[in-house]
Amino acid sequence: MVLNLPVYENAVKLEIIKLLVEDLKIPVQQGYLMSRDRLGIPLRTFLIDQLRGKEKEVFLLDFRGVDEMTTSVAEELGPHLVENFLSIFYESKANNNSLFIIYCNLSKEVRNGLDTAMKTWPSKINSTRKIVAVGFNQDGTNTSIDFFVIGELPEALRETILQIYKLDEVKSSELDKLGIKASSRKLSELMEDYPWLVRQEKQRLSGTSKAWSYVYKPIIKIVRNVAI
Amino acid sequence: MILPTRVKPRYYVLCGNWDLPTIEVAMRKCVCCDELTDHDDPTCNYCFYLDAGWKETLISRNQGTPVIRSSISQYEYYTTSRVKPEIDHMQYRLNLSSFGDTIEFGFHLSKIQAIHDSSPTTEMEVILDTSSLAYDWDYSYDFDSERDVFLPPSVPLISLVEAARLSQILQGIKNVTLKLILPPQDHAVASFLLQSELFSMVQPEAISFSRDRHDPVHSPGCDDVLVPLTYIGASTSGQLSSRFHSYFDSLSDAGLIKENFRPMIRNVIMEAAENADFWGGQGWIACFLRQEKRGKANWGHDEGNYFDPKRETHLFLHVFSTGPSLAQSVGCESEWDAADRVTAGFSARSLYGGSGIPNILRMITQNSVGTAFMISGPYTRIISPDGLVREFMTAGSEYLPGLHLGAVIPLAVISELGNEQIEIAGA
Repeated sequence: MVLNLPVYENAVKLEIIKLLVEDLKIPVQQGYLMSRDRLGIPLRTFLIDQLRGKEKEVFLLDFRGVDEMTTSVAEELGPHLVENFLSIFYESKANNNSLFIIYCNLSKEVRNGLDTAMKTWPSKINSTRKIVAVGFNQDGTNTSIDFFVIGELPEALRETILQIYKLDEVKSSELDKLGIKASSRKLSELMEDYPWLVRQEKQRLSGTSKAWSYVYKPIIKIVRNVAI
Repeated sequence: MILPTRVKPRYYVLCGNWDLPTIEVAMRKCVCCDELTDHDDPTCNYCFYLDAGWKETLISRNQGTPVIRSSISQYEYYTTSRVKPEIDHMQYRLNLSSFGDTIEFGFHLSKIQAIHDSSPTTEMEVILDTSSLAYDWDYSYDFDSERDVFLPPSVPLISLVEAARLSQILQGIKNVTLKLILPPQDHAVASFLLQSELFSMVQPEAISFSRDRHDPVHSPGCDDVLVPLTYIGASTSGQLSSRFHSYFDSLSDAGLIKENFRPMIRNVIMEAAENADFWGGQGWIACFLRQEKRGKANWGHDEGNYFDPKRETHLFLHVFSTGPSLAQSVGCESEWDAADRVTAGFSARSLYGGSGIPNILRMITQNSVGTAFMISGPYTRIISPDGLVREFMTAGSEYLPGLHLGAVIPLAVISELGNEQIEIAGA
C-alpha cells in the first residue's frame, strides 16, 4: 500500500528511479543510489530544469523504490536541491506564482539520510534560516500517513506545521484553542522564514463583505480515507 | 666543487675553497643508477628513483616513527625475483603465499615497472602462482557439508585482496599480460579463488591449475561466504551492480546479520566504494565471512566448550582503489598526517559538504561494531573500537598506488546469535 497524494492544484510527480533509468540512463541497482558526480549532480540539475519555468505547481519527488543512498547523493537531492529550488521559489513568488516541492514515499534510511544532510548542509542563502522541506513516509495508508519536516526547524514552528498538516486547514485562532501559544506570531514567523512549507490563503469571513483572515493549508491535501 | 668518492660506505664530500671553511655533505650511492646523491633525500638527484627502503631508514632515524621491516628485504628482492630476459619476451614469476603482503607486492611492482621501463615495447608476462595456498587451507575437521561453516582462518584474505590490487595495477601497464596458476582443480582453495573473482582480470585461457600433491580437503558447507570482487567506475555509472547487492543479501543471511545492521554495513560499503570511485576513478569491493577459530580442540575448545562457527566468524569488508593515496586526496604532505585528519573528522569531500572516511570510521569504530584499517602508500593504520590505534610505516608498500580501506566486524556483535541455540561441536 503506497501513499496516495491527490492533486491539490497542478501536481507533477517526479519518480526518482524512473527519471534515472529512463531519462538519465543511469543503471540504478535495487534502489541503492551512489556517486555525487555520476548520479547526484545530473539528477539535481535535471530536477531543477523541470521546475524552472513552471507556474503554480506542486512537484512530488517520489522516492518509491529508493532503499538507501550515500551522503553525497543525499546532499544533492536534499539540501542542495532545496537551495536551488528556493531561488526559483522566490522568483515565482515575486510573480505571484506558487511553486512547491514535497518529498514522498521515503524509506526510513532515505529519510534519515536527507535529514542529516539538511542539518549539516552549510546554507548559502541565509546563515540563520535552515534548509528544510516537508515529506511523507513510505507506506502511507489511510490511517498511517506520516508527515514530517526534514531538516532542522525550531521546535515551536515544527509543532505549528504539524498541526497545519494534521488539520488540513487552520486559522490562527484555531491554533490558539489547540494550546499553541502565540500562534499568530509563530505563523507570521513561519511565513516570513519558511514560506515554502505551507500555503497561506486569504479567506473571506462569513457575514461580512470585506473582512478576511488568513488560513493556512498544507502544500498538498492528504486524503485520509482513500488509499491505493 | 663536488669531489665524489666511492670508498667509504657513507660518503662525505668536501665543498668549497681550501682557504674557506669546508662544509661536509653526506652522500649515498643510488641503488638504481649507482651515482652519488644526497644522503638525506630518498629520491636520487640523477635518475629520480625513489628508494623506499632508504626513506624508511631516514624516517626511522630522524623522526623516531616506528618502522616494521618487511619479511623480504630489498636485497633479497633484487636477488630472488626471477626474470628471464629473452629476445622478445620476458617473464616475471610471483609466488603468492600466506606470507605475501603489501610490502612485498610493492617491491615486485617497482621491479616490474623498472624492467618494463627499460624495454617498454617488449612483451612481459607476469605469472601469479597461487599454488602454495593449497597447503594453507585447513578444513580437515569441518567435513560436514550440511553444517554451515565459513572460510578457514588460514585464508590470507588481506594479502589476497592486496594481490588483487597489484594485479589491477599490472593490468593497466602496457605490454604486460597476466597469467594465473591456481592450486589443483579439485582443491577447495581453487574454487574459492575462482568464486571470489579476485583475479578475474586474468583471461580464462591464461589460467592453469597446478598438479601438486596435497591432503584431501573439503569445501565449506556454507555457500554464501563471500561477495566476489566487484568493480565500480565510469562503466557502472558509479553504482554497485545488482549482483553485488544480491550476494551481499545472501552473505548477510548466512551470517545472520541483524536487520538493523544491514543498512549500516551496506552504507559503509557504498560510501567507501564511492570514495574509491571519486578519488581513484574506479574501485573494487569484496566481502568475506571467515572463521577465526577451528572447530576442534587445541583452538580454545575442549569437551566442555561448545563451538559455534558463526560465533567465531568475522565479516571482512575490503574496498580499494589504484589511484591517488590518502595524502594526495586529502592534500597533506604525509600519509600519517592525512590519516590523522580523516580520523579527526576532516573529509576532503567536505569541500562539497560530504563526509567520506570520517563517516565510515564513525559507523564502524565509534559505534563499537568492529575494527577499521587503511593502507595508503607506506602507511598503515588500524583503528580499534576501544580507541586503540596501531600504525606503522613500510617501505615496499609505497610503490603500490591507491588506498585500501577495510573493516573487520565480529559476527557475534552484529548477528542474531543470541537468539540461536548453540550447536555442540561435532554433533
